[in-house]
Amino acid sequence: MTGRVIVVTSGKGGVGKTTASANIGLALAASGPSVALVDMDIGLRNLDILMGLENRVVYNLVDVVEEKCKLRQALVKDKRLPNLNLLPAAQTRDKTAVNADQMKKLTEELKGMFDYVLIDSPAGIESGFQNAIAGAEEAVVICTPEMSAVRDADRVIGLLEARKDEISQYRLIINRIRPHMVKSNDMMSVQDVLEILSVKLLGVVPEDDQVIVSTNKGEPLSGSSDNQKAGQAYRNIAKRLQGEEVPFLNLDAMDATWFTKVVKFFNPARV
Amino acid sequence: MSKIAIISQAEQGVLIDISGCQSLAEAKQYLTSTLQVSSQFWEGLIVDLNLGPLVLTPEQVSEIQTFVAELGVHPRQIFSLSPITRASLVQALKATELEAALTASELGPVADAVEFSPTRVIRQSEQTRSDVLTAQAAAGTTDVAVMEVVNTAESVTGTLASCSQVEIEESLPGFTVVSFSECKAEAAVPNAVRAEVLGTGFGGNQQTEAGFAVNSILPASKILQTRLIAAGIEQPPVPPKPAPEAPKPKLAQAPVASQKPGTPAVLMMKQTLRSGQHVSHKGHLVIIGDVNPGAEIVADGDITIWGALRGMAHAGANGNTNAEIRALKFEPLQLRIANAIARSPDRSKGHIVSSGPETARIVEGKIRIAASDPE
Amino acid sequence: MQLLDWLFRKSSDDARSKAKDRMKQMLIHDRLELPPDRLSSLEEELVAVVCRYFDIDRDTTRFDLQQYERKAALIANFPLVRSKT
Repeated sequence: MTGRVIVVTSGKGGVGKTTASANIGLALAASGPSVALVDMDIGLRNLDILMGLENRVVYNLVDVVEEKCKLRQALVKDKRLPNLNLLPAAQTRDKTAVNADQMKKLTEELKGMFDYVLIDSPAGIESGFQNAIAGAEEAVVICTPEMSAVRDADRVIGLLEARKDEISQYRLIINRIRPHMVKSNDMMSVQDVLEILSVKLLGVVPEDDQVIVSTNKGEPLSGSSDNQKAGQAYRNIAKRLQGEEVPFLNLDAMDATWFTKVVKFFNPARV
Repeated sequence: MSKIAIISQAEQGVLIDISGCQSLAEAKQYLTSTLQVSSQFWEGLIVDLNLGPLVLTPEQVSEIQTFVAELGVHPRQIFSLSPITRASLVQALKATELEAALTASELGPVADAVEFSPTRVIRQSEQTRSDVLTAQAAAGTTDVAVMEVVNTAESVTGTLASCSQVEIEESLPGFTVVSFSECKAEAAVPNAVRAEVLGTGFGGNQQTEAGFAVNSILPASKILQTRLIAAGIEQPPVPPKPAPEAPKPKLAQAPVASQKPGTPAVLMMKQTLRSGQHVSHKGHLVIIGDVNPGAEIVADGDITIWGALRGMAHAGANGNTNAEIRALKFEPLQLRIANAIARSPDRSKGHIVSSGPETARIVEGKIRIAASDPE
Repeated sequence: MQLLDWLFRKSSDDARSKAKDRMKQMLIHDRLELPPDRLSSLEEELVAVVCRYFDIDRDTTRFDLQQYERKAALIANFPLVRSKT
């Protein structure tokens, strides 16, 4: 088995990397393939909480790297899907506990065991990020339609481009889009961000209160079958990762009313 | 005013000092306010009581004994400054059914005892536990057996062991003063442990060579130390063997690294441990504060938390299955004793609300958490 | 009147357009690792060279960077009035 190693990264913190990792991982595994979620945020472990697996962590990534345990021992099986596994980060260590070569070796081993290896990168572009992308072959960049997040995403894309030989492709997820703010011209739209960053789009995730609810429950949104906006968006992203053509949620069309049409008639540049 | 003094090593126990109390009523009031909230904490610990200058009749002595016993405390030694009280203590002791265990020679020195000499040694260990929680095996991906702690509807209430005994030790064990300028924790302790340690030793026990820590916030122990020096007692006499029929105190069975000179048997930390912090210690570990989620504490001996346990605690890390974990509030993500692991129930199944001080120990190979106050 | 103002307001005034324009300029500078004063000194030097050969209309001179895919392009526009003798 040779799995795909995909790193989820953003540059800026707090844009939803870990939420995206958990949701994409769960949605991928729900459709069949085996998935390993790797929490690379050493010292600030959170993926286990989002997955609701925090009480099952015995060994962690650093223990594996330091050969205190076998990889199989450190993997925590998801309580919903047996083909979804979490490799937790160490909480009482820091980013210097592993290096890029060790990560390459680890991802090689995981590739042999799983169809998808999703690596949740820490924020920033320092050693933690460098270790996270060390063994990756693809990247998913998360950003929100805010200037700071777009700028940091651009920086990360630049760093990923510099590793073209290892990382064959990178795609963008725009998170926390608020259609009503885009409509009132208070927020950059999906098109604006794409135009600025000039990258391929993997998905658009609308702002959704349910994300916080699901974090508190330890049950990622994409796992529930009801038609939550964000949950549906993550399921679509998982399908696109698997090569399926899925149309993007047309968020702009959601509230195109007669009024905006009138505005457009008077001032085409505005809309 | 009087204070509770933690005198480190579990074998040497805890000194409850009520020498500041002027009357029996005040003493009882103080004992109630101090002990009632935390009676589980005392279970299994050796507790000494200092009555100070209180003058008590034999009836009053019995009264105070019954009183503290009801609060879950069974003093092993009772100190008194008053000759009248000491006589009352001896008389009260004679009244007990195990009076026969006394010999005249052992009682002899009582009358000549200097200030603070223990008039007698009493150990009453009464274990009444209820298994509120049981551990159930659950499959996991790890090779280690993972157990799930679940709330059982029918809480088993019963007396696992009940024994009552009185040991008589020499009345004048003497004291040794051991001073440590610094209490060194294991290298892994992230924040330097600044236990400004005032060491004192109860020479009556076996290891005067082993140092141990006493928290300096406790004036009672200072008073004690000062008086001991004033009394000119420097070297402890060799303690007598306990009565042969007396079983060993439970805690003494735990292997303690303190047998090596210079290693503190008990590391006492007065701070809240936060996420990412890791403390490990070769002996027993006492945390005065909370252990937050994401923090890890590891000890070869017992772990005692005067606060809430919300992180991961691993007692008996060197494989000691007799190690115990106790905390005032038990909400751990995970518990480990020796090689056994218990994890908290999943969030979807609801949260176990800690109802008071509890103790976790291995029973029949599984980690069990028990409250001391069966309700 | 306010409604009409709002309807005909120039699009570059709103937060969305402001953000987009600022973003574009910021990222061009970021990607080129361009110090803030570099562009203006280049402009001055170029204008000086052009002025040796032509009279130019300084009011309508345009000199800026534009984004083309993930690369930047330097756009200079010097309207010439007449050639110098």
